[in-house]
Amino acid sequence: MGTISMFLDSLRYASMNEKGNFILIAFALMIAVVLLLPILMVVFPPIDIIVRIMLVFVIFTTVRGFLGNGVLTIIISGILIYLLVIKWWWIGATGWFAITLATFGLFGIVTWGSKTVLDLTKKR
Amino acid sequence: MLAAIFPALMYLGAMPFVLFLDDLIPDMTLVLKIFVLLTIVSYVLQHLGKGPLAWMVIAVLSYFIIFDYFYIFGGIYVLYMLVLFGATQILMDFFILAPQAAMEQQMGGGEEGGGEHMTGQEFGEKQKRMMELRHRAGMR
Repeated sequence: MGTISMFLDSLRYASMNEKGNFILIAFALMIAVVLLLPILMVVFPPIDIIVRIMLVFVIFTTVRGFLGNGVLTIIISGILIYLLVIKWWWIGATGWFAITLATFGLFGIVTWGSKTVLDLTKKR
Repeated sequence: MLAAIFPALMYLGAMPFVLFLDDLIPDMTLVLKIFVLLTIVSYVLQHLGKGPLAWMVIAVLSYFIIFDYFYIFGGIYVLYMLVLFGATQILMDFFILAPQAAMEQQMGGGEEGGGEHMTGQEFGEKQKRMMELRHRAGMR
């Protein structure tokens, strides 16, 4: 209970203190890390092609894992590939990158690092 | 709700943004519904095998979850996915580290917050407040 009240204190102090908030800083860093991939895809076209091919594989493998081999798998994969690789490629790439980083536990490192390594909440 | 928000935003000159969202939201809802359908199909086939009963159960579940009550189950599915991919781990990190950050802010910026310019009495008060904050945070 005490920890929760301290957590809420930290949110309240964020609005009062110009040093900013640890949680917002950590979230901003996470978003920055995740947005790195679509930015790289725009800047370097080879990365764009490689990531799109990987996304196609990931989507097809995921759908096949759910439904097995069949016509339905190809149809659903086709719809998802059109939406997440061709039309909204940046959402597909960002989502896939976020899921991959979350699976490896990288966001925990970002959260920990934003407090202890970067230490942006301390007074300069 | 959206029908009221979009004209208001268009009036304010946010036309490109509105058009972008207008296109994005239905597409992402469709993607979410496809993933929910995949989860239902996978779950039922795993339990009942590929028989007519399984497809009937899939049809009934899909009707309720995807068409009738998607506004409830869509949110639940997103939460389920977030938990599955370790969003709770991030929250736990926040619960551990945020009290420390708050404590340092309350103490006036941590160790660099003027430790060398404090009198003995100020230092004693700081230590007392630190102990109190540690006690409140459960760090005894």
